[in-house]
Amino acid sequence: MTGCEGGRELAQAYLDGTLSGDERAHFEGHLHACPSCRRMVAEYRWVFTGLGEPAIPPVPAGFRARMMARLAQSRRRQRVWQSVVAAAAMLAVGTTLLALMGGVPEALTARLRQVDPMAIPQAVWQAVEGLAGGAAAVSGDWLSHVPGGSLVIGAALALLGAQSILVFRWRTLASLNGENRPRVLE
Amino acid sequence: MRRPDVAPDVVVAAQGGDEQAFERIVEHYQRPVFAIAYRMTCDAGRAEDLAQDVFLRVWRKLGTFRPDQPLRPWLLRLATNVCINALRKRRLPVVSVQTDDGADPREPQARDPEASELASRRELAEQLEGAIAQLPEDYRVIVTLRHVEEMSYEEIAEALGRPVGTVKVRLFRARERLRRILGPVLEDEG
Repeated sequence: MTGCEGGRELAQAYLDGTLSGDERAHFEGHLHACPSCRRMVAEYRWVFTGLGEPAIPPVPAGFRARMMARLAQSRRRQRVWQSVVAAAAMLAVGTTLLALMGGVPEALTARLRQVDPMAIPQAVWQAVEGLAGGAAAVSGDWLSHVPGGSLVIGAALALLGAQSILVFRWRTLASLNGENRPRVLE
Repeated sequence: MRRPDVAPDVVVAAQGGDEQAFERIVEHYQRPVFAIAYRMTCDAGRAEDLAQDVFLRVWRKLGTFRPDQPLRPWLLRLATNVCINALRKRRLPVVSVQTDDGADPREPQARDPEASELASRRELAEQLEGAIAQLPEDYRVIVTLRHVEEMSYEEIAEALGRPVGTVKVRLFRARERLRRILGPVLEDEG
């Protein structure tokens, strides 16, 4: 059923409510006389009804709460990533500087030789332990949300281990007397 | 039914990281966003996932929005892009147009009086849903914005970044295509 020429455009505009008063009256007059166009308007009316608001199911209950929970989770991940990136950037800058300086400078090593590692205040070690505990908590939370998080945490633990070995080595070197010091500290 | 746009101060607060303000935006626009997502997926569960993706993107992009502009066109344009991209990337399945007996309602059907009597309004609605699912994505978005959100041609054009003429033509073609699918079924019923 295609109706009269131009009937489809008029029928859609008629149901859309975009015809002027005169156009509407004229078209309604035509509909009285034309069963073909009347039929076409009835078909379009079905289409308009099917496309309308009632044909869409309601927004699922609790959608907003689930959305906000997902947003909170996303923001938490973002914060962890930002921390990781910041830490990585600091590490990169530090290692680059050390590399540019060609190792631990003599002035620093001379000073280190005078330091007794055992004299480092207990509070410093406690602060380090506290930071490590906090990092572990954040990592655990992250691990539960980020795919592949275990790999990154494993790498972080390996770095921590390597750092501990270096610190131990550093303390040992600092406690050596002059004759036994390796050449790098001369 | 279409609601007025959200107040600009709510948008500004959300831009500053206020989650409560953003929750008001979600509450305000969840219906049109869900409607677009539903028209894309024809499945309420997948539509919810997609609608959540849209709002997450809105949160991340909100900083680029100018609060002196109306939020609705910007947000619905974002929603449309996210939905269409998701549909193309994930190849989200849509319901089949075929009826239970395997017939394609787009093809003219034999005038079987007994079969015509069995065609209920519910079946008609299901056929229409199936036919809508087969429309091109941008056609579906346009009919949703027009018939669910009751947006004008100009507003749809602004939201989608397309000329008004394109919107009119696609809306006309979408309706006409659906009418041609339903026509024979209605004729059998009548």
